[in-house]
Amino acid sequence: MQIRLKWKAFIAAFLFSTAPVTLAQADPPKQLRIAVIIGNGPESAWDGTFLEALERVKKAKPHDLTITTKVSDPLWGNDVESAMRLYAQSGQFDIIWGHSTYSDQIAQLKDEFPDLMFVMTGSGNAPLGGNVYWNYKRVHEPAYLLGVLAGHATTSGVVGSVGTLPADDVNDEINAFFAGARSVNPGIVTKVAFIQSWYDPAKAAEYMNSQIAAGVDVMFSLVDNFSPCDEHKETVVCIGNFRDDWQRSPRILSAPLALWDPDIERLVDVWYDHEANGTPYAGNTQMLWSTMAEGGAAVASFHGRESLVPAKAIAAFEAAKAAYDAGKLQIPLDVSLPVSK
Amino acid sequence: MMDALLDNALLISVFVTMLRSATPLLLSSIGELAIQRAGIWNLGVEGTMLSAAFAAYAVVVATGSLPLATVAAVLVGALVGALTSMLTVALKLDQFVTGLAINLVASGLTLYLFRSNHAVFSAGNFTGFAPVAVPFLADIPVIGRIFFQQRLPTYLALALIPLAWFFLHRTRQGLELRVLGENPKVLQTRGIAVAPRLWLIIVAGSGLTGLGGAFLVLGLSDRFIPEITAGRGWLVVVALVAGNWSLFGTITAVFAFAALQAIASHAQVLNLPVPYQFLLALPYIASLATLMIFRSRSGQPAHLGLRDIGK
Repeated sequence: MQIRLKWKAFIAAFLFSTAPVTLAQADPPKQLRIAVIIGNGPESAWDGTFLEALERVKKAKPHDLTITTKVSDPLWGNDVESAMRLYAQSGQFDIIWGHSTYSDQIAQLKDEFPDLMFVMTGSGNAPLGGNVYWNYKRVHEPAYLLGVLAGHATTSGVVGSVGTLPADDVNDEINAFFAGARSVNPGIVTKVAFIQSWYDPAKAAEYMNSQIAAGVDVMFSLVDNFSPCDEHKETVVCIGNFRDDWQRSPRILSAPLALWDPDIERLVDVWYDHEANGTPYAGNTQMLWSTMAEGGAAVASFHGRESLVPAKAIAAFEAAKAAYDAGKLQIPLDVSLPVSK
Repeated sequence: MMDALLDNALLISVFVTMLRSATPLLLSSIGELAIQRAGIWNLGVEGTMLSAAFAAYAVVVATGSLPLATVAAVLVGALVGALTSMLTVALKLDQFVTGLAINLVASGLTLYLFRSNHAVFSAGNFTGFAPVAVPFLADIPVIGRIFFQQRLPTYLALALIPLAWFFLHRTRQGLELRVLGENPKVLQTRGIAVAPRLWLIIVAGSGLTGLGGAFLVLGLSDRFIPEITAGRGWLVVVALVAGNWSLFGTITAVFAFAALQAIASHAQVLNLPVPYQFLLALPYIASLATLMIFRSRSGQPAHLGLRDIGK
């Protein structure tokens, strides 16, 4: 009788001791299903660059994952919460990626679906932590390097920028562009204007033309319209923003590029760690972005258009880029409201 | 600071900008004025401009032809006008609801067509209307730069102002149009068919509105985006009300809006000590103020918006 009890105790102890091991050794996930909600549309640089990066990451198959995505039509306001709730309740998604200012909507859902990972991007969001990750995108470093180029390229001594709305992640790149220009040309005059809309090409054209009338000959355009660059092709060189729009106009020299690949990969890693190792979600409450050195931003190719600016401008840009790559150039982050000076 | 604004090049730029910004509003408001003076409360201006802007973009990307794109925009504007005519003249539906419905359909349909062909449109480059210098006149100091180095649709819009006045006030057809808006039964009692005239006016006016929409793409942009009209169609409606349904009142309102927009676009460049958000809001504040000021002096056509149109 005693022997039988001992055997039972031994078997029970064995099972108990191996149970956690058995759980920990569960098959790692093979599939990641992401529901994406965008705020504008693939034609916008913010959404378009992200969707392209998502496709690249899917092909790269991090952790050997098969990543599938479902991208919603552009949504805003209460519709976002409804869509996110439908995605969450369906049980068919592992990450709900809200690619805009959606913290109000996610706050209503995050505790209801604690095993889901939520992502929100850009300025205007409130930090939520827990299962909510907040991803920023800053391209101020390439903007600074192109500002160095602009500082040497301008013949009028006036560089300008037309922005959309004065948000934190818009101000940063305009300030960086001007800082880069001033670093090589302290006496430079800077002109800045906001059209107070994410998209209004007609208004953008008029704001760009106003700056050109004020003497701007190197224009950093964040407003998705390069027709004024063509119209003033004898005098103006344009720098695009976020994506490589070089085919839009022969006057576009380059652009600071937004590359979302490292951001997506980092968050896939977080999800994988949670699923495979049971690591609890610990969403960031501080702004987090991938630097240019980390691959989160880049300078677009000149596409053989170096002759649009003097050789010394290209040389100064290359030198600044080399200094950055070598870790010798720290590019400051300034998110204050830029004004014409 | 003001010295800078008064600097010759900048001052000229303000006026050049004003004329360019006014162009789509002028074209659309003249078309819309004809429709409203005929008694149809057409609120579908925004949708008409948007549909035409999309048509212009699609055709210019597909063919590379600026004239074809312009014609396509006018035709699509006219087509929307035909739809408006069918709903308001033939079926006698509520004109407000019809206009709002047309705006919603245009918004959804252009979005759908644009997105479903995103790959084609995102790579679509085109050459739009470039400034055309009028020989000799363009060389006149200041005036030449402001008035005679504009794009073709701007010249057309400016030329249409006296033509529209002449048509409305010096021709039999113009008189009939105005009578339609005041009391269509007068025409009916004289054996003049009302419905065909209304169809013609709405279709023609909407075609002109479509040309205004096309200018947003072909004259001011290098692309189409959803909702590219950005409320300009509504500004046209406000200009008509603010202008008390008179041609010169409407044109004055349009130029006032355009002037405020031009000042707003230059104010930030000069870092004027006025919040630029205020300047951006000025055209809309001005439109509200104008509506309040002229509320008791309404020259609104007596039969405007009524469904009892006749045959």
